[in-house]
Parts: sequence; structure tokens; C-alpha cells
Amino acid sequence: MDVTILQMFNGLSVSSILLLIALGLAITFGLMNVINMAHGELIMIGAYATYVTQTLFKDLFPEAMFGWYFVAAIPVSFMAAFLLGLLLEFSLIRFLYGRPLDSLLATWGVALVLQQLARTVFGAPNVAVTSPEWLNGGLTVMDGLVFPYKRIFIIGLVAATLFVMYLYIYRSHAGRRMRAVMQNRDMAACLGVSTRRVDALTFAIGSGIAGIAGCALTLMGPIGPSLGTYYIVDAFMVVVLGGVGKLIGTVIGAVGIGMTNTLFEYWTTASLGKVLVFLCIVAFLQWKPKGLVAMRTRSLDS
Amino acid sequence: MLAVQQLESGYGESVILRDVSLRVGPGQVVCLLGRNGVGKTTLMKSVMGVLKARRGSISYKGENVTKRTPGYRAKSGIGYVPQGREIFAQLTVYENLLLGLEASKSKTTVIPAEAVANFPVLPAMYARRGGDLSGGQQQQLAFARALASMPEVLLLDEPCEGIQPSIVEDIRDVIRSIKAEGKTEILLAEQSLEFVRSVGDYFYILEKGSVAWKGGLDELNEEIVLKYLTV
Repeated sequence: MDVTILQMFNGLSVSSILLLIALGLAITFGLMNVINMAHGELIMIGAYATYVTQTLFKDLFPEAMFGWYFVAAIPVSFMAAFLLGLLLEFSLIRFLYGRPLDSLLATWGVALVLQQLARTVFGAPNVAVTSPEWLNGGLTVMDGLVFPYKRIFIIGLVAATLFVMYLYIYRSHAGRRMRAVMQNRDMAACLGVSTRRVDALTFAIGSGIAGIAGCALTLMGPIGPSLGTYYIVDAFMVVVLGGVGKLIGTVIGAVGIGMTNTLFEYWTTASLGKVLVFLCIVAFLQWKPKGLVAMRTRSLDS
Repeated sequence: MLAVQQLESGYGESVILRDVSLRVGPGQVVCLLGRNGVGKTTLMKSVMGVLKARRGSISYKGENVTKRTPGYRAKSGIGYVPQGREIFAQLTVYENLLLGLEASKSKTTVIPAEAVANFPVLPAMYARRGGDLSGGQQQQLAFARALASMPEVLLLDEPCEGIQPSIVEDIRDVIRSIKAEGKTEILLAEQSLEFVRSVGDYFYILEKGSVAWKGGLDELNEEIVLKYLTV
């Protein structure tokens, strides 16, 4: 019983991290069809933004305030990655719409530049972010069964991010414009929607969410310039498995991968478990190349 | 007041329209006729700005809009009902109509009653996805979406194509009531001679991408029809 609950919790925890790193990509790749290889580096930027926030809090504010740095770090990470995304879209991505191969190569180049930039500014070794006191320890569910607060916090953060994204995309004016442009660019333009602005904002928001993911990852361990490269494959895997274009697909994809991963690792070993998960994904995509939740739109078909 | 002068336009390397000039006066319904492939839709797209003009000019209310984006033209008062309707399939009917408000001058978020008054089926289907509607319903939605921003010029590209007769009648009534109000001018591309005769004031016939004939309703006689429109 204990073991089952613990495995379920671990699975949920892995899923939440997968989902967090994939949510931003679900927008830039899923909605906009930009193969953004620099997504991992946007996560890295978010992580370093958290590191900087932490250092600033240490230097500028009294000891008692330190615990709150993490609350400030979430919007700071978002803004840092958001602004970088805006710059990236304006200077590079907007010339590459509808050219997936070129955007793949170009954004990969951007990824290398950003990694080197981080190395120059923060140094090659990993840096540690001290988790705030209130996230240490865990919730004792029963004897010998403890859910760490950090993991619970990340699950909560993912749920909140998802909720806000849902409100933005499906309930706001800006979100409606965004969906219209992604479905039928020409017609949206003919109705007076500024497609340029929608593109820039959409890409920036996807980047900003990657920043939030980076912020959350600082809770899991030290961070370094190549942080993003560890996560980029997983992020693409989740979005492709989920099916591009719909948020719910990404959620199901992340939970699916996270849960099966934990189960396989429990039944076999850590490395064999990962191999089995990848095999399952490859087999599944042979059967359903469009992913779990397939959506057909004009913009994706053409 | 919409005026097209010596317009040349096309796709990629191929030129479709050559030296096309036409004008739509205030309150007029001007019809564009011609067989398949003569360039009616190309002309519509060029007027809206989806296609860039190679040469010539498009002016609206005295302003040269040849180099302007479709969005700018929409905001200055040109409404567009494209061929094939171009409904946002994944969005609800209501959301489709709200997008029609993007170009409106006032910052309203309420769909004007006039826009849907002629299409009583639409309000009952607000929550359904645009892609789930039938062709005729989609056409009515596209029409209402264009009317939502209270345009001063309406570009209608084959609004009756593949539509059941009763909805064709509805659309005819809408065009007539717009005409009776006299505030909106209409450029209508259409295949059905019977339909354009019943609503049109002035007619242009395109052939091989150029204006082959133009004239009023009484001049559009059998001889002209036989020469330019009979297949």
C-alpha cells in the first residue's frame, strides 16, 4: 500500500516536471510550429534569473526576508525569459516562420550562444540555489511515507501555470486573437488582427513559461550552463506524444510519460525503465503519428 | 468610395490581373462577373490586401491604400466575406463573431444587433464550433462576422456558392436591406446572373484578367451574356 502511494506520488511529481518544461514548448512548437531548439536555454535563463534573485535578496534584504526570494523569483524568471523571447522573435524567429529546418538550425545556434553567454557571465561550474526554509522538509502522510514539500510545490506551480494559461488562451481577448492567427493567419489579418504583434507576444509567452520551469528546476538541484540540454529532448517528446496544437494533449502526454517512466523504473532499473518508455513512445507514434490529441487546422495541414 | 486603377496582380511568377480599373460609388452594389478563372477572387484579394498589387493603385475614401496591410484596410472600413468562407473552425461561433469586432472603430465587445439580425439561426448556435456548422450556416456566419465591424465597403466573394436556395434568398434580402439603408457600398463577385441582376447597380465583366465589358443593368442584355458569360 505504502509503496503504491509513493510510486503514484513519484509518478505525479515526474509528470509535473515534464509538464512544466513542455508547457512553453507546447506554445512555441505546438501552436506556432517553430522548432525551438533554444527552449532548453530559455529554461536555463529562468534558472539563472532565480539564482540572481536569490543573490540579490541575500545582499540587499535582511535575513528574515530571504525565505520570500522564491516568490519574487517566479515572476522575475518569467520576465527574464519573456524579454529574451521577445528579442529572439524580433531579431530571428520572425524571418523563419514556415521554414522548420532553418528554424531548427538557427535556434540550435542560439542555444549554443546562450550557453556560452551563461558560461562567461556565471562561470562553467554549477551554482547552487538555496531553497527557502519553508520548502524544506515534507508532509508525513503515514509512518515512513513523506511527500517532500518541494515536490508538492512544483505540482502546485504546474497546476497554477496551467490554469493561467488556460484562462489566457481560451478565455481572454488576446488568447482569442492568438488562436485565430494560428488557425488562419490571412483571415485573421483581414479582420484587423495585428498578426505581427500576436506572433511576438505568443512566442514571448512560451519563452516566459520556460523561464518559470527553470525557476522550479532550481529546487531540484544545482544549475549550470548546460541545464537546458538535459530537458530539451523530454520537452519535445511530451509535446509530440501529446499532439501539437492542444493544451490538453500536452498534459496527457506529460502524465503518460511520467507515470509509465516511474512504473517501469520501479519494475526494472532506472536505465532500462527509460529505454522501455522511449520504446513505447516510438511504437505509439508509429501507430498514431499525430499524437494523442490530434487537431487538424488549415495552418498545420498546409 | 473604392477605386481600383490599372491594377496588376497575381500569384508568384504568374500575372492574373492586367490593367483592371473599377470604382464603387457610395451606396452602390457593383457586381463582378465572369467565367471561372478570369480573376474575380484575385481582384477581391488584391482589394483586401491579401495579395500585393504589382502595379496600379487601390484607393479608398481618397486615401491610397495600395501599400497598406489587410488589417489597416479592415480598420479603415473594408469588410471581407471571402470565397470558401474561411471560418475559424476550432473557435466557437460567438468567438468568430467577436473577431469580427477587431476592426470596429469603437472599442465595443458587444456584437451589434444589426450584424446578426438577418441571420436568426446564429445566436442559437453561439456555443458550437465554427467547423461543425454546415456550409450555408458558415456562410451566414462569415457574413455576420464581416458586418460586426460596421464596414463602409463590403467585399463579397461568391456568397451564394454551394448554398441551398433558401439561404441564397436570405443573403439576397440582406444585400437588399444594406442597399436600402444606403450607408454601405458593396463589391460582389458572383456567378449567378439571376442573383446579380436582382441586386446590382453596375456591372463589370472580367475576361482573361481584364475588364472586358462594363455597364448598367439595362445594358446587360442577352448578347453580352452570350458573348462573355455563357460557358
